[in-house]
Amino acid sequence: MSEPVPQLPASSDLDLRGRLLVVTGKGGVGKTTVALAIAVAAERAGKKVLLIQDDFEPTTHSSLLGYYQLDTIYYEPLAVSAGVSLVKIDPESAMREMFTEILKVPNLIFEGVFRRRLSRALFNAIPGVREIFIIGKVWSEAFQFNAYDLVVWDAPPSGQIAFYLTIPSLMESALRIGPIASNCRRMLADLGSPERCKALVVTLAEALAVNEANQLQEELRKRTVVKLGGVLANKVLETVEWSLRTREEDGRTLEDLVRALTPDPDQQGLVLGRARLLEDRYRSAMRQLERLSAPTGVPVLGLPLMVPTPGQGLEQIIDALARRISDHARFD
Amino acid sequence: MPGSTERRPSLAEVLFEKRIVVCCGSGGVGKTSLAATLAVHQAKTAGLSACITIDPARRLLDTLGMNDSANADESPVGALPLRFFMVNPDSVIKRYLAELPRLSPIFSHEIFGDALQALVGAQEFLALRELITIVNTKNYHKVIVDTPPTKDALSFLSSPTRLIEFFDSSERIRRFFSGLFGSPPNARTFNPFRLGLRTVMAAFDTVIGLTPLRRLVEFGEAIDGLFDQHALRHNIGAIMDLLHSEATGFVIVTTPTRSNVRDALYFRRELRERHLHCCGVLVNKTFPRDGAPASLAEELAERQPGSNPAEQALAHVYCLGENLLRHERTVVEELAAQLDPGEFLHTFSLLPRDVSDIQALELLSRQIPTSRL
Repeated sequence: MSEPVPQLPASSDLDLRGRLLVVTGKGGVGKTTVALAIAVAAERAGKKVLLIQDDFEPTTHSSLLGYYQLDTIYYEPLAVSAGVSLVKIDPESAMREMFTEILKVPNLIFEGVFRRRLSRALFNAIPGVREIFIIGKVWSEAFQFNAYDLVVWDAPPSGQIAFYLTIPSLMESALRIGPIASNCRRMLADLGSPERCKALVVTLAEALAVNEANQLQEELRKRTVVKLGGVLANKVLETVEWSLRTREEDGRTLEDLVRALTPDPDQQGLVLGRARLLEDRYRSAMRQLERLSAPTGVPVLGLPLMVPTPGQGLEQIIDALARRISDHARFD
Repeated sequence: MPGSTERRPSLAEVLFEKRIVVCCGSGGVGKTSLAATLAVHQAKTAGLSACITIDPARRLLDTLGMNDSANADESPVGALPLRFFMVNPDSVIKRYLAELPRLSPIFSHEIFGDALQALVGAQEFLALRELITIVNTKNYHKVIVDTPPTKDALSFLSSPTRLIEFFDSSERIRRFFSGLFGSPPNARTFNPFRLGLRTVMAAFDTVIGLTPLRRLVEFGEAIDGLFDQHALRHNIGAIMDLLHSEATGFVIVTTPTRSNVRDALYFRRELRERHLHCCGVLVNKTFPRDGAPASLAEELAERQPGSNPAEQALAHVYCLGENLLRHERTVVEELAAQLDPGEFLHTFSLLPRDVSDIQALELLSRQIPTSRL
């Protein structure tokens, strides 16, 4: 009699084993929050985690800083809990580190040559330079320095991430021989190994976000060596799903239930209005998620919409998301 | 509405006053939908109007009957005196690339296009150039500009300067490297800077080898050749004049979440630093106010124990709405407190489904009160 309750298709658990997770997705879908929840879940699984932020984020406030009550983070990793460290990488510092720490060029000489304006110019003028230093640093932290069990990279959004991940193979094919070419080959081997590195796409159950998630999956498959580990559908209206499911079992209509809840016609109208709007949103969201063309075997994990209330702050929200991830992902 | 003190202008007033309205904001807030909504309103109230947009997902514009044949498509919308211009940077860049045979084959054209879009701000610049053409050549009463989704709010506005900077930097880089690749004219004089440079370059050579650098420079030169620099600088001047003119107003689109409002305020600061006129903020996808007393949620929540699961769950759905309303109200109040009295603050209610057709745009445009004071 009533429509079936639309639900996220059941899928296997997320396999988050490995050393590097590349968390990407359309801007505004909650990428940083999800990356943070993954890091917290990994910490609870006993991992020593490094959470890497790009310097793209123009704002100095984010759920990440709020959760750990920080004003800012820096290029030097900062241990914020027993198992989580945070770092923010920018290409200039990454370049400096490569020259002064790894190649042992004296700092003074480096300063003299690559003055701020010049390195800016370098990054502006030559496409790929910014990306190679960033991806190089991420790769070093995940596969070379071995100071952490897992690196979670809160990576650039869908429009740019494929370009970042393409740079090593571009460099490799451009150079073929020499130390950087062999470094790029090692980078490609690490990034391309599904046991060691996975991309996670964060999306919302909205038309444009799903379109972009699909485009991104396609791009990652076609142009990069990185394998897709899963899709996380953020802000799913799970309360509505619960309500639709219990109503189906109950057998009564929405109107019947509203009348049972309150005898007052005004109140009935209010309950009905909100329920209809949220149910419409939920059904529309599930229709969008059906279009999520996750290739067979790629798990899709729904994360609930968490509205901040006086009793439910950032701490509780991240905790709930981390618990959901812990329940549906394996780190070992 | 919170924050709408009697001195705040209304959205309708600003739309009446300004000929050009530029919508900006971070990704995912519904910028394209709201730009189209404002354009529908302008067409209804002021006559022939234009909407310039970049919509990579194309869904909205597909439904409005746009096609993908040229870089700037023009398409009438229903019976309204409204034209949509779709700037397609991909096809523009592809056309440039086709005329560029001397590009080093190590960089595929595909990557080249990516690089252009990722670093130069070409996309944004093309949208701005389109704006100039439309403003100058056609008799549109009103123009709405939807800014492209970019990695940060800044990138649209800074695209002209970034282009100039880009060319200046490639100059500087070329001069810098010419000393390495060519023979420096003053090689005999002792220059500590050059000595340092050699040390760094030796290190560079160890890791990368100098060949790729040479190729990267070549790559930079190839990009340089894409634009006529003189015309570019001229265009940029015209764009900056237009953006700063009295007839132009900027509108920031956001949603009632803290992170998006933070982005909106950040963007507002950036506008002000550039002396661009921020007219106000549109808060999209707010949970509609239904005038329900706050006590109802508490009553329903208290009634839960003992009632059956379906009733309980329904009460929870109602309370979810209540929580959304309360949270959004706080967020919008925080936003209002940051705005000047001269800036408008307008909220658009969440629709039952995503905006994907002209009917939805109509519905949204009815949320702009048309009665003028």
